[in-house]
Amino acid sequence: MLNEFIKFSDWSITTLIALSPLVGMLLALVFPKPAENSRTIAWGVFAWSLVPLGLTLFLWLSGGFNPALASVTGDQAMIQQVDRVRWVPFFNADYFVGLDGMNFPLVFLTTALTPVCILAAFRIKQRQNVYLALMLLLESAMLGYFVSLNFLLLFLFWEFSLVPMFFIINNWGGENRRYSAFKFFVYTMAGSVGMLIIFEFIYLATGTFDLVVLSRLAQGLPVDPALLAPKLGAGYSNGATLQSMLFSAVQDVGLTSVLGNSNGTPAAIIFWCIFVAFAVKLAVWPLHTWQPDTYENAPTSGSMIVSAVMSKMGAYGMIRLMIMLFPKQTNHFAPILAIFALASILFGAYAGLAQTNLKRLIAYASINHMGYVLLGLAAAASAAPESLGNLDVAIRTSALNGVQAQMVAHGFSTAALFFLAGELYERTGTYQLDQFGGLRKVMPIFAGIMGVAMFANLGLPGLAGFVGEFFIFRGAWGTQPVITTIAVLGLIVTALVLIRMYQKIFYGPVNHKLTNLPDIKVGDWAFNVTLPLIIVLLVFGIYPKPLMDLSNYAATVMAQVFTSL
Amino acid sequence: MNFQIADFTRLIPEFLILAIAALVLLGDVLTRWSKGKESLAERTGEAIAMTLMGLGLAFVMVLIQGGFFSWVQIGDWKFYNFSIFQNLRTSGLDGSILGGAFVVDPLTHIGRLIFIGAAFVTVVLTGKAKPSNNPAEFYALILFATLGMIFMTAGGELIMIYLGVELTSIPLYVLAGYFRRDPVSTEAGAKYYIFGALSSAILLFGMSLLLGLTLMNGQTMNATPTSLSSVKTAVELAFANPEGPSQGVAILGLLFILAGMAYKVAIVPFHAWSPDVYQGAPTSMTAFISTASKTAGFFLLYRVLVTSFDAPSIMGTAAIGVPTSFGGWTSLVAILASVTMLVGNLAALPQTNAKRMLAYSSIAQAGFLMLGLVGTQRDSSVSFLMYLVAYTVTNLVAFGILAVVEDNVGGTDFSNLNGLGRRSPGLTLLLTVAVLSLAGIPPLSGFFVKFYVFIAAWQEGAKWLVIFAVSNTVISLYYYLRFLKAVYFAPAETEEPIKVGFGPGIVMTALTLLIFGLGIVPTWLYGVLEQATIRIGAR
Repeated sequence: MLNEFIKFSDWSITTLIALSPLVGMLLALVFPKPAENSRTIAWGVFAWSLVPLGLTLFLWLSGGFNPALASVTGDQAMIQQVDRVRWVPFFNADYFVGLDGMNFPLVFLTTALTPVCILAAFRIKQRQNVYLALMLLLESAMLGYFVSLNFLLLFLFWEFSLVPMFFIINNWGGENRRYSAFKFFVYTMAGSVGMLIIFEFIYLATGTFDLVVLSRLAQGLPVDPALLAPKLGAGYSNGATLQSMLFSAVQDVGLTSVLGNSNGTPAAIIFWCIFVAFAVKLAVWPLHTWQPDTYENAPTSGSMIVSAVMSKMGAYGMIRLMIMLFPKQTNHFAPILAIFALASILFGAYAGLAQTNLKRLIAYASINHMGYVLLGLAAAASAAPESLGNLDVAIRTSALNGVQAQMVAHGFSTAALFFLAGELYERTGTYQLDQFGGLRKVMPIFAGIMGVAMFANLGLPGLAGFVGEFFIFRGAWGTQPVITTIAVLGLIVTALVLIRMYQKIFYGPVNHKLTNLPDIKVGDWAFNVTLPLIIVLLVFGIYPKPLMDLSNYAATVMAQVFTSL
Repeated sequence: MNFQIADFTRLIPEFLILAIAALVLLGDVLTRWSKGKESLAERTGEAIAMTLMGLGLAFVMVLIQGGFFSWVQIGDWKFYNFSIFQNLRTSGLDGSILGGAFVVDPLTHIGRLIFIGAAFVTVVLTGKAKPSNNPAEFYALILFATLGMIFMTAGGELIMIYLGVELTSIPLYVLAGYFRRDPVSTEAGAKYYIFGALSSAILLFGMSLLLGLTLMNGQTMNATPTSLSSVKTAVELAFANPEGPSQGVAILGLLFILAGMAYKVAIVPFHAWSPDVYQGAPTSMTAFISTASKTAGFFLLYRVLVTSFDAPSIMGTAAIGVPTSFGGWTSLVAILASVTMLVGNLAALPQTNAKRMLAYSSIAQAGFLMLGLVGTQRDSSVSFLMYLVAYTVTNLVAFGILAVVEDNVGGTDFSNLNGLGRRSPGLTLLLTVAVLSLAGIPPLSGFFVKFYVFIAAWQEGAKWLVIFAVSNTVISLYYYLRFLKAVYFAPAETEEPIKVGFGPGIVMTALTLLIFGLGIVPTWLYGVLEQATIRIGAR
């Protein structure tokens, strides 16, 4: 039964990808501290961070991960390279990690960006080895989160990812670092506590934390009863769905007198609790207020990783825990989700216009871009108009594919923007936009690189950002035409925000204090940091097929779930 | 009532503690006596060293006897040096000695480990709160209390249980009021004593009723009339004849014992003494009273309830809405649990003193813990015991850090904790872990045990209680996060770093690692605890 939708790994490669950074972390901490300005540890950590990237690329290129593989019964995508070991028997919980089309792009994003961020962290002078060790811990926590298929395990990694980020901001951050670090920590924590309690209830009602089993239950697919804890739940029988099991648990407790006798109410409450947890992480309006503070006050490489990868943890959580476990509720509430998405898009864009601080501006642009991600998810789940006909599945699939592509592309372009913002600060000592001016004449290569990153971020065709936004909008037009029409306005305003930023920095009269800034030279450190990012943005902009292929099958399966609702 | 020579070896840890306590007292007489400070320092140092060595030795001894260590065997070679371990082991575990008065089973071993460990930590933590005169008494009293706790856990007979309770309580009264010059501490001692004496009387009255019942039933030809198994027989006989008068006596006996122990472990509505005592006592003593003493009380309650009152008709069920619903002591426990956690949580909200807030928090924790007592199925019992272990470890860290802070700052109000994050990042990190564990945040042990008792109570049918408890965890988050707000957010009066001694530093770090360990790999205790519940007869 289990083997029908799970393909075990021969040599635990998923575990290796997720946990190998921990070994590097320990090595970095125990390695005797070298002399001042020595880069031994830094290079060592960088080399170590290439290991997970190498393993991921190996899986991708060698076909060890086949994104188009269906389960034996053909009712879902095959979960591959699985490691599954009993962990807490009395909670029926396993150490269960695996890859499918929904998490592989994000694993790639994480493993590819961490080396870049570590390279960018070479600027950190104070206790550099600890900082780099924390980066590796963060990488491990995020990778663990993406590959976990058991809620307890996933939540463990989710919480663990807060710890290194908290210390990175708290100890190495900017002016307001303590406040920002605590705000970041408390917001994420407070959002997720509701989700934790909700999942405790789901466990009591169903007897499992296994996300794959739960998603099969949610879709009414057959589940082996042996996978559920025997004494719990209302007793699984054929035809029971997650929704009906939750409802019968609520009936057992006697809460129906409070919640009413509707089958869908408990699931709806649970849906919103899960949404809030991840909306905080994704920085969806109105739960976004921690995000500009965090992005502004984190050190450069910290901003890079938190904006590029960590915010995607929210979107991924929505896919894995919200959409896949509660498709009916997502479908039902999709218009509201779309309105939240629209609010993020518009407010992010317009708030971006008002910013005078470079990092805050990029942060608000990020809120806007994550709005597209949420719009894509809402579009994929929305009820489709009759006129769509056979296009239904294709439309939803393209929205979901767009979400994945947008997450990867935004990760690379935002990381580049934050890095360049940090470099500007190193050169000029300020993030204030009105302090710059005419820098294109002083630093032409810098201007060129930042231009590419900026245009990729706002979605110029030919660069990676375009692919995601195009597919999201293609999907969204089909199912949410009105909201999408308004969202286009956000597209234009974001372009305005970023171009205005570019203009203020690089055009106009040269600020006389800034006439002899060092430019980025071909082959120097800053160039090497940005080069891989720019290459990836160009390659996926021109030839996005490999990236789209990763998620395509899983997206199609998910789209079919919504089509059949 | 015959004492066999083999019984002696089974009591080695107790004899060891007793001997060390006597040595601490005697050694003090033989040390330099004068009015000077050097003399006092020397005497204190000597008493601490001897106490720690004795407790450490006893701890290792229990580990060996319980079979937690195994000897080295490579191929056919069994390392002869270790054969003493093996002798100890074979003579250690199992058996009811002294005619069933003292039960040596895995539960006793777990209790020994917890109490000896907690006493060890307490002694390390005494810090500046060291006694100003007669130091040896102070440490010897800790040892006697530890001994009493073991008797409470191991008691298989009413008189032994009562002796254990008294042996624990009397030293603790003295220790709580040890700072005679400090009115708060004196008040704590006096209050603890009055409430404790009253509860002992109630407990004793309940026991006398049960003894009367066993004697009345005449079931004592072969067994000791006061043993828990005789009580079990008598109580079941009484319940078999619902018309007769003896059923009422059995119920009264049970109620009085429950009430007496509820005083000792501070269950609402018998909790009023505990915040005052916890706040007034020296902080290291608060750590000891709130962890070890409470654990001992719960172990006692568990053993008595599971051994003597586990017939289904007496237990009843805490479930609502099913045909045979709501009655027996489990439903009483369920009600007490819900009231305890609610009152504890609500009373903790407005507190301005960290120690007092933790006192209310431990009342609330007792409420959560009792979810594991609303039934005696395997999961209930194991989760109950696991909760006690995790609670002890976590609370020791929390109070231990408060003790260190108090030594440096001179108080435990929240205003004293302000800016701790800047003054001592390491200490603050440990405090954060402990507080988050108490709040039940994964991956810390507090989450796993809390969730485990939820599952257990759900399986026992007390689903309403689980929902109630879950909503209570949300309330508790508020006051636990206030801790973190104070230490991270509030501005410090000075930036002067806090001095953490070597001993407390090591012990707190080790316990914090244990909090993580019990959380990430919660299974490693499971086997031992399951054994304990099987031996004691939980279903």
